Amino acid sequence: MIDFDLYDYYKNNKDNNIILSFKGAVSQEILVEIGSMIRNKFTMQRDIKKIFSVFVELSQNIMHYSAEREYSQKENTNVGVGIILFSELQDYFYISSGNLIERKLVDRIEGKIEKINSMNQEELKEYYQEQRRLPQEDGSKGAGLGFIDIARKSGNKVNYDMTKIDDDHSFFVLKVKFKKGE
Amino acid sequence: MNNLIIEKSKTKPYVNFDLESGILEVGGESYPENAIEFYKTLQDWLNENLIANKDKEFEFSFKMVYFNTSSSKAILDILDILEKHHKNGGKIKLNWYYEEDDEDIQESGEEFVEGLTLPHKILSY
Repeated sequence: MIDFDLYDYYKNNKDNNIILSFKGAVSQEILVEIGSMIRNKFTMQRDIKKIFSVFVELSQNIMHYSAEREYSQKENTNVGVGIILFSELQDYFYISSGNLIERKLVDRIEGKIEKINSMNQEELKEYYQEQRRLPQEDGSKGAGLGFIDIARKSGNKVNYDMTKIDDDHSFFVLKVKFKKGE
Repeated sequence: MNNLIIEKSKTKPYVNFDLESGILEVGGESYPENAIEFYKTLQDWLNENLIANKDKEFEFSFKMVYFNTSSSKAILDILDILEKHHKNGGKIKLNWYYEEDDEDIQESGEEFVEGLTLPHKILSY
């Protein structure tokens, strides 16, 4: 840790136009705090509700599905560890999330996202309604609708990336783009 | 009276189920850590009290400001309970409110009521 160059880290963030980032256990409490920061920061954005909504889905994906877990005493449950960042360029905002997943899930997740990315808005709407009708997966806290909702709210393709970390894990990155509005 | 009243919090909506007046209301923001668990309390209340008061007129109003995808699924499950009550001859009406110009909440209401046979309205405020 003593060798860690914090200025280098700061500069790297700055050079990549990162305006806000969090790495750690994404608890409900953290989600609420970052969420209200975003709402304050982007009050002028027409799409603030959509931006907020995508942020919630990305964060709760990490919370519920990250393969790296940390015990939260306050919430008396294991919460997922990951990274969330916001970057701002001239015409676009990006919200990105990253977390470990089990490698055996990679194909399934890629398949889901590819399917969603092949759909237009009308097809996404129908697919959302169809998936919402399916029974809850056992023990899951999510509805399995997050990726579809993200694609609908952002109006753009869902960019993703998988990097093999070891035999059992990959690092899963999602990147969602928003066009800046008035 | 067996009412269900829950105060709103940062990530949970308020709930006001008043058995005597038959006015049932849920509103606010909804993105709890575990939406299924939160809404189960509401679903259990409805399953128990609608059937037990078959001749009573109920009016259910959603006044949502924001909800995440897992809440969305739980809301659909509530609508299923209301629809079933209607089909069994119960007296129930549904109102879906959206803040003026909030197209997302308006559209989600329109999607929710697709296929419902119970009397329903989508209203702005």
